[in-house]
Amino acid sequence: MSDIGTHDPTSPGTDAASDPPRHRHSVPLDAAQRGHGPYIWRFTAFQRWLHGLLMTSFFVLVLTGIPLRFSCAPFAPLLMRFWGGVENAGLIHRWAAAIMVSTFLAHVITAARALYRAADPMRLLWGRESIVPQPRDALDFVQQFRWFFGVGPRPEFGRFSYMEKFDYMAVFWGVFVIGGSGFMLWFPEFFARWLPGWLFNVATIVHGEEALLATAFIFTIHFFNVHLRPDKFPLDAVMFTGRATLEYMHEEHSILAAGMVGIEHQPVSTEPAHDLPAPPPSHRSTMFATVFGFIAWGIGLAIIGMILWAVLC
Amino acid sequence: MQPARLLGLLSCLSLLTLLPTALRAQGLNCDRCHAELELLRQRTESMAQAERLLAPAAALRASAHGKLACTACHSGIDHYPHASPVVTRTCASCHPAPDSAWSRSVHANVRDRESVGCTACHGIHDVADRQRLRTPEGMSRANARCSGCHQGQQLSSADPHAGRALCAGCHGSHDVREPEAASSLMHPLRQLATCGACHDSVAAVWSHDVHADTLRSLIAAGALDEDPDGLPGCTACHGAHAAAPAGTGALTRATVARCAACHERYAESYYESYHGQAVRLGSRAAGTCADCHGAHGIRPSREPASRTAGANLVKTCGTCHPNVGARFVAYDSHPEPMNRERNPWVFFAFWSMNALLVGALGMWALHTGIWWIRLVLDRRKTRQD
Repeated sequence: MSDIGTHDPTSPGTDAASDPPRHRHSVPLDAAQRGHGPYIWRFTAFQRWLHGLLMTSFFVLVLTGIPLRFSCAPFAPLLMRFWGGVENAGLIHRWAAAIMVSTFLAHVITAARALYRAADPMRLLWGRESIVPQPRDALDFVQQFRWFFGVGPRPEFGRFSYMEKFDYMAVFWGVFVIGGSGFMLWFPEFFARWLPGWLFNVATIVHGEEALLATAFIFTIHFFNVHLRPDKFPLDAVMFTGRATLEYMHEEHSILAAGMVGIEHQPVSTEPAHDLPAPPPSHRSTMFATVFGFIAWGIGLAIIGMILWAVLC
Repeated sequence: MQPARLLGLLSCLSLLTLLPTALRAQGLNCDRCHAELELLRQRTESMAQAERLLAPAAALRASAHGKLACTACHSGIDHYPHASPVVTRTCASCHPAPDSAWSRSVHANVRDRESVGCTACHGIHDVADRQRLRTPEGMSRANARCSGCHQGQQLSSADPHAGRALCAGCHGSHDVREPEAASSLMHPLRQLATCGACHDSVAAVWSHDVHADTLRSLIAAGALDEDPDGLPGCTACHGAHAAAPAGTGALTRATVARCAACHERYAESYYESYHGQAVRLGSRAAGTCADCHGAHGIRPSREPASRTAGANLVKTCGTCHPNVGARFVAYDSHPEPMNRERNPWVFFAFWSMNALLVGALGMWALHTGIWWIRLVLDRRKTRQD
């Protein structure tokens, strides 16, 4: 396996048969299409739909909520005009919240069903296959810092790195905290039958601050970790196309990839199924993923700009 | 002399003296020149001068002075060519009271007296009488004369006073003062009487308002030279020349910023709440100051009659939030997140959420930042190799 960032896709000696087809770029924009093949299925169609709905509803929630949070900022009235007024923006915010909560519930239900049906449920709950945070993730985190400072090798990850696990758990925390406080503020008359009035003061603060944290986190940390760091720049579309090259898997999830010995000799699965060889993404799917991805990070970075504008001015 | 001849002579004399007077009373003699602009232009040096001399009797007859002859004011003129200089009686010779009021007004201090004298507002030959001043047409003519100098001060068409009030109706007529002057009809301390002259029922309610208390105590203390900007008169909330019409919601929303100008601490917490944020961005549904505190009968919350007194909150909040109870109204509309005594839970939530925000972002920013540096260094190293 070549070092990070040193791989030259046109270098001689590579196995032409297992190489993914090249587009016009010598290096594909999509980091998941760089390096040696074959392609491996990483995400099912259902998982990609969930992520797509989650991120789309998140964008809408942020863009309808942020003008209220920074109501004195110069962009606030412009955004509100875009949505057709405060009342409309409020309505769209609630619809997007309903979509996000439905997406979340769809995941929780299917995950519970998968756990119930699994022959070996413990494999999903613990170990290198599991998304559940474990002590070894803390060790990986420390190891990552040791590597940062050049006093140790880069940590190796299983199916999910500690960063992906953090992002995943953050959605649970966010949906409970932001969603819970949001529902309280949506139906204050109903919730005030049981809850004390001061809790609505608390909910106002919690909803705004936690949403600000989520927004700032997604559009800086998540974007950098996944798309913008120099070895992935400008985009990693694995969540949009569902597949990545074996070399990508070796770089990002080496423990998982180490178990894929001889995978290039297995038959290609046209159906998305974890860890099976996949056909290369079609030109259309790559184009869609790239355009969708660029629009998303363009809007995300613009939102970060707005927050900085509102906070610093 | 024979009596008959004497009678004839007297008749001729009286005809000779009375006829011109009768003709003059009709303005006929004067009209021969003063209704003919072309003629006047030939006899004068400029068009402006000619227009100034243009005074057809018809214009005078339609004015408040319609029963007077030209010579009633232009007393020195009885033949042509006129004596020079022409003698004209002052307005004060008939109207002494308005003249003395004017001499105390802000206009009396203007250097160019001609531009602010009687004729500047009343016109010369087309002086309007009181009845005509009260017609819409008379009002707009009179107001146009004020705004001829006071440009940009016209009422916008959205102002409910536009087309219904004379400038002089609020500011006073002959003894008009600067609005800031203590003697001005528009000084906040006198607005209750001035605005109340028309808005009497609202003024009666407002006289029980906490803001009226403030004004009354200032009047009682004789503090009449108080800076009017800080005083809660009618215009402090309603604005002056862009007063929004009541009952459209536009007034209460516009008033929020005016309440905020004095009540800074409450404005700050209001704008941190959903009510304030949505109203600031143009919501017509979210609560404004007046929705909770009322408009003309505002009392402090500590008084039982106040809309925001504890016992009345269920009713007050209930106008927008139906069927709410004691738990709902325990919401603090003006919380102080920094005040641990007043809002312990808000204080705790505020600080813990901010600690989480700074802590989580800080940790990950450190992680991301160092990672970036590591990757950049690695790339530089491999490029050198």
